[in-house]
This record gives sequence, C-alpha cells and structure tokens, in this order.
Amino acid sequence: MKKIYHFLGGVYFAIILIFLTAIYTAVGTFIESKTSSHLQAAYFTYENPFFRSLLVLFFVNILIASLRRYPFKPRHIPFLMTHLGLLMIISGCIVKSLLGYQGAMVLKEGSGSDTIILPNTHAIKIENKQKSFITPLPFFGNKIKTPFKDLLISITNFEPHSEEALMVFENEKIITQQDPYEFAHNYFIANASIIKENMSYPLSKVLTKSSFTKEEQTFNIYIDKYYEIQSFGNQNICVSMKPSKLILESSDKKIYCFFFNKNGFIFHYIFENLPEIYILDNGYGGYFSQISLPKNFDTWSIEYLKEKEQHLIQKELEYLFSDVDKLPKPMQIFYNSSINNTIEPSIYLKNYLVEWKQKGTFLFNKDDWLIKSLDFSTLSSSDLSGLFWTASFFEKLDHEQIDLKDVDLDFVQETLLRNKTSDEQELEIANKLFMLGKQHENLLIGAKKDNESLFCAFLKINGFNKKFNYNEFCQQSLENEDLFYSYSKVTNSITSKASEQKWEENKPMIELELRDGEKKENIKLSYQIHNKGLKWPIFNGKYLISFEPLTKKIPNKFRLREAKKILFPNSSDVFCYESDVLIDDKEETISMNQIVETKEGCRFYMSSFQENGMMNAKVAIFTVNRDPAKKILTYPGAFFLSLGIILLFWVKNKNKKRFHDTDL
Amino acid sequence: MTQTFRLIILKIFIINLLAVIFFPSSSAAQTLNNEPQKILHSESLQSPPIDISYFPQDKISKLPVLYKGRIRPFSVASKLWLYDINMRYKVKGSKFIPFKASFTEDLIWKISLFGPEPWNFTRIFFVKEPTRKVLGLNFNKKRFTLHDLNLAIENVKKPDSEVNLLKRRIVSFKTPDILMLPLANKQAEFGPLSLLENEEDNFTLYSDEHFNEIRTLYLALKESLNKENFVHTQTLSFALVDKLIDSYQDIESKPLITTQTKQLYAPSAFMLELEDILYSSYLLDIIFVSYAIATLLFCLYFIKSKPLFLHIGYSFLIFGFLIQTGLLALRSIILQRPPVSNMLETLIYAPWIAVLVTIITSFFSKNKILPLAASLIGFILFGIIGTSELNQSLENIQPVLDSNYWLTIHVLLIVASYGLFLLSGVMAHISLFSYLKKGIINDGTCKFITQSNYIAVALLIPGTILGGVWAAESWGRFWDWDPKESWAFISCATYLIIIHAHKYHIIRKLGLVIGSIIGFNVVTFTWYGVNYILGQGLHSYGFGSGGQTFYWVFVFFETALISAAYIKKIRLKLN
Repeated sequence: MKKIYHFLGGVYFAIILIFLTAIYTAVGTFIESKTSSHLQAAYFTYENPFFRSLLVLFFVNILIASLRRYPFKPRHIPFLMTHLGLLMIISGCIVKSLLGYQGAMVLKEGSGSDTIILPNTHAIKIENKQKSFITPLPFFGNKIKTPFKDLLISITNFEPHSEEALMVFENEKIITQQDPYEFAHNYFIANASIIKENMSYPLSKVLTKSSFTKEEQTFNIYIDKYYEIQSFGNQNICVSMKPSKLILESSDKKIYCFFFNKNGFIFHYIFENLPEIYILDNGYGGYFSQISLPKNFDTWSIEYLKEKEQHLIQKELEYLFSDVDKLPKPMQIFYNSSINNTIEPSIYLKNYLVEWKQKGTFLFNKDDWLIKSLDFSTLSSSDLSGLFWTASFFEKLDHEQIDLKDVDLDFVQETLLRNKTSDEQELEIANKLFMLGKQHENLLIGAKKDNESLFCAFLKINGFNKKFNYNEFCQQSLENEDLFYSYSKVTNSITSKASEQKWEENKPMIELELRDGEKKENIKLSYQIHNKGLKWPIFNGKYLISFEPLTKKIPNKFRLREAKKILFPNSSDVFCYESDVLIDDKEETISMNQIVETKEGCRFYMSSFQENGMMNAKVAIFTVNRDPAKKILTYPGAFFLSLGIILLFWVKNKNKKRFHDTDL
Repeated sequence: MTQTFRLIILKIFIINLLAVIFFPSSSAAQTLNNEPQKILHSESLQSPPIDISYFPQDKISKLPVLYKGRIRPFSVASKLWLYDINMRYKVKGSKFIPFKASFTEDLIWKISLFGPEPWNFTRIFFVKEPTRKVLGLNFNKKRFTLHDLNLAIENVKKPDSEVNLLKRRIVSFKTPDILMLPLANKQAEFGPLSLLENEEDNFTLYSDEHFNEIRTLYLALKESLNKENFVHTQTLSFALVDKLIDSYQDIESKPLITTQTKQLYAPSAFMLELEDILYSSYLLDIIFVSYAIATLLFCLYFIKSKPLFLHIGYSFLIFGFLIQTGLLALRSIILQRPPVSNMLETLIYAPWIAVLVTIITSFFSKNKILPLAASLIGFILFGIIGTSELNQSLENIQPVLDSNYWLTIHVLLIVASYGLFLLSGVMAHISLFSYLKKGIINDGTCKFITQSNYIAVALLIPGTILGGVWAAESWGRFWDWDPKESWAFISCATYLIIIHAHKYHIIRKLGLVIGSIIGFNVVTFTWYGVNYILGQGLHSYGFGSGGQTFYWVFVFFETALISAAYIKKIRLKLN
C-alpha cells in the first residue's frame, strides 16, 4: 500500500504522466492539422476519457507528491506553492466545466436576447401555440418524453452529416429512371385534389381519364372557377393543385421547373442553374416558396396558354349563342348569317376576335365571305342610317387617320379635345353618331357601305370592344411584367451524407417517428446550428418541431444596438471591431480585448462579425461565459504557480545540496 | 550600387556598344527596336521623359503620406509602392531597384502631377512566368511596359486571379494610392492632391490657413505646368512640398480615428523620421555580419586558444547586440508596441535575449561556450531573416493583438524563454559534438544548460499561463488545446521531464544534453512548426509558409546526431 502511495506521488510516475500527456497532445495537434477540425482532435484526444483520466492522475500525483513532504518546512514553500498552483488550476477547470457555462449569442443588429446557445449540443424543440419545450437527445434509448399530451416521439435514425434542400426538390435519381415530363404528370395527378364542401378529394380518384403526351403537352383537366364538373351535379367544385410548382434536376444537370396554373395546365421552364427561391414563413402553416422567372419565361407556354384561352372563349361564346333572343343586336345578325352559311357561330366569332386582338382593330379581312354575307336588312332604316354615320366616321378615323379635331361636330370636339380615343370615348362617339345618324336618315339615301364596316360599327355601338376585351382572357401578366411569381408550399428534403473531414462543417440529421394519439408521422430534421433555421409543422400545424442546440437562459438581458467594423484609413485592414450594446438597459461597448462583465458574473466577448449584404443584416456573434472558479481558483493558482517557479529557481541555488540530500 | 543595378548598367552599356558598332549612323535603341523615340527612355531606365530638375527630391522624402492604411514618410511609402508594382523589393538593400534611389519618389510625384502616360513605354511591371504565359507575353523578358500589358490584358479572355492582381497593380500605378491630403471625415481617409482642383472649402484636417496656402500653391503649380514654365514650376514644387510638410503639424500626434474603446493616432514627425532611418539603414545586415564575425572569432579562439580572439569576439558580439537593441527600440517606438507581433520580430527578439543573458553572465563566469552559442544563434537567425522572404515592412497590428499590456506580458515572456531555450539547445549541441569527439561533457556547460533551462521554464510557464489569462479576458476561455497552446504545453512538459529527471538523477549529463536538444526541437516546433507546418488554430496571425524542407532535414540531422551520441555511449560502456 505504501509502495503504491509512494509510486503515485513519485517522480517516475510524474514523468510517465507528463510524457504520455505530451505525446497525446502532440498527436492531437497533428490530427487537427490534418483534418482542420479542432472538434475531431478534441474528440480523439483532449476530450477523450483516457486523456481526462490522465489529468485526474496528474492531480493525484501532485497532491500526493505534496503530501509526502509533510510535515512542511520553510524550504518546501516554493515546491508547495508551485504544485498547489497546479492543483488549483486543474480544479478550476473541473469546477468551470461543472458549474460554469460558455455559449454563443447570434444577434442581428437591433435584436436582443437573454438565452445563449450551447455549442455542440443536440436537442429537439417542440412548440405549440401555448408553450414550447426543449429537450436534449436521450443518452440511452430512443424515446423522448414531452409535456404535450398524447405526443410520443421516438428517434429512428441519427446521421452525423446531411444535406438539406428547402424546396420541392427531387434529386437526380428519380429523373434518370423516368422522363421528366411523365414524372411531372404523375406527380401532379398524385398530388392534385378537388376541394368540395371543404373536403379534399385526390384528383387521381376523381379523374380516371387524363392524358398527357409529350407531343401535345396538354393535360386534359381544364377545370377552373368558371366551370363546373358536370358529373358532380349542381354543386360548385373547384380544383386546387398541390403543389403548383415542381423543381427537378435532370441527369444532364439542367433544372426543370414545372408549373401548374389554376386551369390545370402544366408549363415548364428549363434553368441552367437553380433559380433564386425565397421562402415565406407562414407560421404553423409551414413555409411557402416564391420563385421569380424571367420575362417571357417560356414562349410555348404562352402560346399554349393562348390556345387554351381561345378554347375558353369559344366555350363562353357557345354558351352565349345558346340563347339567341338574349343576344345583342350585332350578334344576332352575326348569328343569323353564320347559321345561313351553316357555320358554327362560336368558332367563327372566336377567330374573328382573335384576329381583332392581333391586328388591334376590327376593320380587317374585307373579302371575308362571312362578313360579305352579313344581312343588315333586318334593321330599321333609322338604325341603318345611324350605323352608316358611325361606320363612315370610324372608317375615316382608321383608314385616313383624320384628326378628330377637324371633324366639324361640336360634341366630338368636346369629347375628344382632352385626348384621343380611349375605348370609352370611342363608344361615346359611336353612340352619339348613331343617334345623330338616326335623326338624319334622309341624308344617307343611296349611300353604300361595306358590310364589314357596318358590322364593326354595330359592334362598337353595342359596346362590344369593351365586353369582349380579349386581354381579359389572356394572362396579361405573363407578357407585361418582368417577373412571374409562383408560390408553392415548401417541403424539405434531407439526405444523409458521409461525414466531412472538418467536423465543424457537419450538419447532423435526425429521423423521428411521431405519434399523436392515433395519428402517426415520420419526419427528418436537420441540425440548425444557430437556432435560426426553420421549424417544421407536424400534425397539420398542431406543433412545430426543430432540431437544434441546447440553450441556456442567462441572468442578463442583452441587446445589440450597433455593430461596427472600423478600418484603417483607406484600407481594408480592420482597426477595430466594436459593438454598442445594452445590458440590462445599461449602455456598454464591447470590442476585441475589451469585454464586459456583469455583476452576475456573465462575461460578454465579441467573437465574430458578419457584414451586411444584399440578403442579410449585420450579424455579430458574442461568446458569453460564466466561470465561478476563475477568481478563486484559476487566477490565484496561476499566480502561485508562476511565483513558485521563480522561487524554486532562486531557492534551488541557495539550498542546492540540501535539496539533493533530502528529496531523493 | 548593388549587383542588379550594376548588371543593368552593364547590359545597357553592351547593347549601346553593339548598336554603335553595327549601326553607327543611328541611335542604338531606336535601330534595335524600330520603335518610336519614346522607347529610348524605356531602355535607358534612368531617364524618364520629363526633365527632373524641378523635382523637390530631398524635401519630399520626408513628406508624411498615407500608404496601405498607415502614415509613413514618402520615401518609405514609395519603396513599398514600388515593390507592390514591381514585385522586387527588399526594405534595406537597394538591389531591387533598377533605378536611382530617388526614382520612385520622383516617379510618384510626377504621376500625381502629369498622369501615367509619359511612362507608358517604361519597363516597370515585373510579371511572373505563369502569368506571362496566360497573357501571351514575350518569355525572355521579365518586366513589361504599361503599353504591353494593356494590350495583353485586353486580349485575355479568362483572366485568372494573377491577372486581376496585375490589373490592380496597373491601377495602383496609374493612380498611385499614396495619398497626401488627410480628409476631414469620420473614417480619417486620405485623398490625392487632385481633389484640390474641385473643392474650394477646406475639406481636410489641416487648418483653413494651411489649406488655402496648399490649394493656391497647387493650382499655381498646375497652371505653370500647363504653360511649361519649368523654372517657375520648380519653385512652386518646392514651396508646395514645404507647405505640406509644414501643415502636417496640424494632425501630428493627434487622434485620427476615435472609437468608443480606442484611438488611432497620427505618428509624430519624430517617429516618421525614425521610420525613414529604419528603412534606409542596413541594421539587419550589420547585425548579421557582426554576429558572423563574432562566431568566427570564438571558433578561432577554441582552435588557437588566443585570448585576443575572445576579446575581439566579445566586442563584435556587444556591437551587434547594441545595434540589435537599437533596431528593436526603433521598431517599438515607431509602432508603439513591443516588438513581438510577427515572426520577423520574434526572430530578432529571441537572439537578443540570448545575447543579453550571455553578456550579463560573462561578468561573473568564464565559460567560453556560452558566447559562442549566443553568437551562433544570432548568426543563424539573422541568416534566416536575410534569406527568407519574411515581410519586413512596418504594418498595422491586427485587432486581436492590439493590447500592449497583454502583448508585453505574454509574448515578451514566451519569446524570451525561446531565446534561452535556444541558448541551452545550442550549448547542448556544442557539448554533444565535444562528447562525440572527446567522450566527455564539460561540467560547467552542463551547469549553464541547467540554469538556462530553469530560467527559460520560469519564463515559459508563467508566460503560457498568462497567455491563458489573456485568452480568458479576450476570447472567453482559459485553455482550449489550440495547437499553439498544446505545443506550449508540450514544451513545458518536455522541460519539466528533463528538470525532474535530472534533479532526481534519473538522467545524468549526457541525458541532460540530449534532453535539451530534444527540448530545443520541441520549442522550435512550437515557434515555427505550429505556424508554418500545422497551420491551424487561433494563433493564425503568425501563419506563413516556407522552409518546411529545411526543417525536416534539420530534424533528421538532429535524430542522427542523438543516435550517434547514444552509439558512442554504448561503445564507451563496452570499453
């Protein structure tokens, strides 16, 4: 026993310990150099239980070595002082790790906080609208207890590193097996649903037949708010498509974006690089993405859209022509003529309107047989006279570019002096001319006009250029606005990856199985190192869940008022990093080499600073720590050790001989 | 005149000679190149195309200007500027300058007056070989004209980082970023003289009176330049430079930037004077040479045993030491901080401590290995400084280190301990050589090695712990096993083992000597290896590269030496 005691306090043991620690430390530094990771070096060496036990043995060795000199004599003072100093430093480290804390505070300029993030800790945070709860990952087992009733969480998987993609983003693997178009089709069918009386039905069940071919690139569900699905009787049913946007990466590294508009049409755009996507936070409802596309992002989809819209116009015209008596007068003429010529009136009128839209005027195609065959004889002679007047006027206006001011009619002057031809003014003129013409029937006897001019005038008088404004049918926004925004719900896709060499860059991933009563959900979460990541809704927004480091409340309220980076004159070298802060409403300034310590013993250091840019505000990272042992153990210990070593050197010279004799 | 310059003169001479021989009728350069007259100037690099007679050469070198964030004398700033453009620079030698010493200052002064056009055809830009390839320039030449480079850069489709750097150098040449007017704004920026052309109100830190005088002189100078009245120009140039120097007293020693926690002061005229002296002197070379001679004399003393060698050796050692003290003092005064903030400064400071201790010891000890060891350390370290490409210019300090209190306590202690460890290490080497030769180790030397180790440890451990306190005060943790910290610990551990083992007679003299050599290597690694080989951790301000091969060769040599000693010991035992 005594032998062991002497060995433990002996110089051989001390040398062995020092040697082992030194070698171990050296290995640690080479690991750190090789991997650039302090965390990894610390894991294998400095924080390894073996290394820790070496430190404990050190403590024992020094303690026994000191005790062996009992009873102490004055000449022992330097020795004891040195070794006492060492003991105090080591115990200071132990006390700090038990009672003190050290963490980080990541603050945007202008924000404040009273909690710190404890680095390298892993915890699950769950919150509902009443309370929030955070718990570290369990040491043993895979169950996590929560204060929420019925909510059970169990960990099914943990990976040290992962990659998170925040969008509807499927990776390459899916695409290489399938055609992207076909995939898009199936994906939409699977995810589209019909909402009927606030209930949602999957579209794939409702629509048994659908076609989507690459050649046509159509998707035959044109259902929108204008239409009802007949098979559902008289109930109003609208279809909403989820998601309305799909981003895919194909094997040739191109990014396909598919969009689903309200009418159920798919159109797409191919990016060379992933476009910028903005995420909008909708609280418990989850996240939505917004993507901006270039002007005319895809010409075919606009053309395609036009065709589809024409189809809709035709449908509307069919509906219009179904009740002839209610038709406006020019339409009746048009209808009669087309019936006489055995043409479907809706198709003809649609073509007419499309051309109208394209040419910007309704005076076109004079030789068109349909226009020629129009029969105005059903009109009264006074109406015809008014029509003549109007037609003459517009003919002149359109063909000869007459200046309206030259027209010797007071009311025209009055109307038009302000400015030329808005639609309403044209209508007003047309109507007034028409009335004028009606009154001066006799003036026009024998005069002749083109059918076409007459018809156009007739349309105008009846306000058709307003009512059938083609633009309302086509999505103007596609052509006129620079950006096209598409909103869709964001999901996250997390894939596990091999651990990085630099462990600091790892982003762990956790897979959870959640039970809420009967309901069951699985979710993958990726580690949010600064607690600034996204919280994901579970059970339809009943809870929000995230995977982040543990936090700790500190006794002080801390607010970053301004973070500054001051440069040397005309230089990019930094002279000074400085932060103006409020600690418990007291103004302080923190800079490198100048820290603030509060009464409660919290110390604030400015450790990092990120300048503001296009996408972010100024961010400063503060290290906050509390070390209760510092003033009573570590610093006095350091003092004793330093003083002891100097004394040891001095006393040694004086008592050299005696030392040798007695201490051997 | 240095070698390069002489070579250039020689080259020009030969070219001219050949030209005169083969083409006697025409000017040499013109005929050789078939290019316009301007080329003549570029070939004879010394004569810029505009008459320099009105250049206020002597005065202007004292003018305080701003370059790279520091106020420096014009002479210094222009040297640094030339290095940045020409990629050839040594603070102390003039061998890098292919022009007359005054050329740079003259050049900058004229560029700021006339613009860079007159030098379009002067070969001033040094271009590295890979960049030359990218730019498609003539392989045989190393320096190119502004004209050449502008053409070449235009044709480059994908400029790499080197080309971009070159572009920045060209911009720096066209508008030298050596700025002369302290602007009255918050960032304490400086501006070029040309600002005077636009503004009438005082926008500088100078007093209104000074500002108006400077402005009047500048405008008059510009006008007389336009009129090509060179005599008048000369007078005005002199007056303007005089006035600028005179006006510096308005900002001298006053705070330029004031933040909540610290201030940046404009250096005093005296400090600028010292800086000029430091850059134009040959202190490092003088120290190197005196230590080299001292080493040689001490060696001679060991061979011939004549006390004369010893005495002269000592006087050279002391001479070198005095100059070294002066150098350290100059750097401290100019930079207003202890001279231990980068690798170069520690390389100067550590041998200073070793020599200081030797000189003090020499008063009460007659050991002759100590001075040899000290001079050898000086010789080797200053040799390393001379051959390596360490940045020798005086620069601003990083915010992390900007605490004179801690810098003094922590770094001075640690580097002082390095000096002593070097001393004990070199003495151990000498002893080991003598052991290999004679089989015995001198008791006195052993005593010195022990003493040296003791003092060094007594400096290193408090120094390291105080470093911990500094870290606790400015980063928030006392100890984190950062590589530098780890290796400081390993150094301490190594010497603690040696001290304990030697004290308790686990090892004897040979063990002590070998131990000190191992310790010496560990300290070298802590000092150099952590920054240059590991290159990781928070002590990143000292990081660099270079010399790795030499280091590993050295370590191999040390291993061989220790093995040889061990073999010798076994042999002696057997006998």
